[in-house]
Amino acid sequence: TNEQMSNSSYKSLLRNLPRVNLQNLKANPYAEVKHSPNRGPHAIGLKNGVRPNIKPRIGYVQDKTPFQKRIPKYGYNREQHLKRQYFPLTLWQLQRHVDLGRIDPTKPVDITAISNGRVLSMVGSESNYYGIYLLEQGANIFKAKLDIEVQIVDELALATVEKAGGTVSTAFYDRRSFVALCNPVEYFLMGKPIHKRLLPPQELVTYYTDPKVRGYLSDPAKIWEERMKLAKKYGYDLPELSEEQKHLMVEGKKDPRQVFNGLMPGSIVNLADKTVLVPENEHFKQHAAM
Amino acid sequence: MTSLLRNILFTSNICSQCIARNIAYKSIYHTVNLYPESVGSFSSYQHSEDKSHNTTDKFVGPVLRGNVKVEFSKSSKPGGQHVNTTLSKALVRFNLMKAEWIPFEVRKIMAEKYQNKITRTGDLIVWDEESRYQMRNLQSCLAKVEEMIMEAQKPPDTSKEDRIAELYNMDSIHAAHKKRLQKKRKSSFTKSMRNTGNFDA
Repeated sequence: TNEQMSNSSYKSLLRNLPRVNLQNLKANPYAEVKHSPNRGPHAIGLKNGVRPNIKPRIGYVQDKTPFQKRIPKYGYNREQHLKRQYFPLTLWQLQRHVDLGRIDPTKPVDITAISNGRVLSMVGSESNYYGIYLLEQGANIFKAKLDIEVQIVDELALATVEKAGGTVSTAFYDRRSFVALCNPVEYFLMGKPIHKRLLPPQELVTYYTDPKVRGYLSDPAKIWEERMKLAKKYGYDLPELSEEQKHLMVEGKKDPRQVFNGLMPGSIVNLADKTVLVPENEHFKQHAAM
Repeated sequence: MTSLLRNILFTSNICSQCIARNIAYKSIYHTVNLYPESVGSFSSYQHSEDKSHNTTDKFVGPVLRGNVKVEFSKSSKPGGQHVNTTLSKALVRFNLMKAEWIPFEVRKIMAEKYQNKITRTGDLIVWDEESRYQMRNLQSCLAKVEEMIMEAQKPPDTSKEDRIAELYNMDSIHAAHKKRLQKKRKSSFTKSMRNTGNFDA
């Protein structure tokens, strides 16, 4: 008959219908939903014979210490708004990207080089991140000759980079200049004059004036001595530096008040006309020199 | 506002790098302004040569010199593919009696003290394979050798003899007696104050 379908049409139906998923399902409107009763011993939120404005406060348990007071306090999350975080960068990651051609070993490696070469994605992170941490993993493999600038360095990572013929230096960037360096095009499109990079806070001054960590505010003569000491400690021969690398350590160094290498704070970059506008007035020059 | 750099580039024939180095922006926090004395120190820096042959003086300085040899090999611990393929074990060996960079008397003391680490041919061997990294194992080996030499170089321990000599020292004996008698006088004074004296006599 017409009402009954044949076996083959049932099977063809099954084949053609879509699979069961959340978009196909619907709640049963005729099902019984259980609610707590309004009266009786299983009632929730009811005190018999009492007006609602007389009931005790939330959490009150008669004559006992309440649950929220029984557990002691401990400062697991204290001072979270003041803490600093750094992006980890291992040596094998660096070596891999040098081999792939994303990082140019002939030019100094900076935060912009690392973000342009897509080594680390430092965009869209929380406001807690202040730079890059160079780690020692991959010390057995590392062979590239690089001039790196990071924020924090491990001792073994320092030794491996210097053994291969490169240089390392640590510098401080405040949050605003770090974001500007990660994406300089976006910063220049804003059209504002370049700001001054801030000096490190009180806790970090002893770190960045330390020659053992190759800080950018430390004495270059002492850095030269520390290089020898590291080589003796780890038992390798110090390779000679080229003149350009020596120049980078003293005179060609990036200024502590400079965000972009070669650009004075107060200047404006015009990307459309490919020019740099530098202020002539002495007032601006004095402000930048401080 | 005109762009100074652009004008200078077009009017003169100097290359851009030289200009950048001379007219580079420098604030008061630049290394040239913070440390003006150490600016020209790199070019004229002479490597201070280590005192290699000091047989009479004390040993001070790095360990890696002379007849010290370093070997790297695979370590014998669990770790899978990384342990089987990387040379992470570091071994330091040198002939003790032929090492001229250690003073002669120290060599004799070391030959007795570290008998277990010396081979039949006279080589002192120190090795380490604790870390994943070759350089760190080497560093710990060199630190161990330095510690061995420093311990053999120490003057003999005289603390026990000093303590015994102090007992026979007359100055210390007099001082101890003095202290005892002071305490005695003080307690006798307090006791005498308890008796009320005769105010009439």
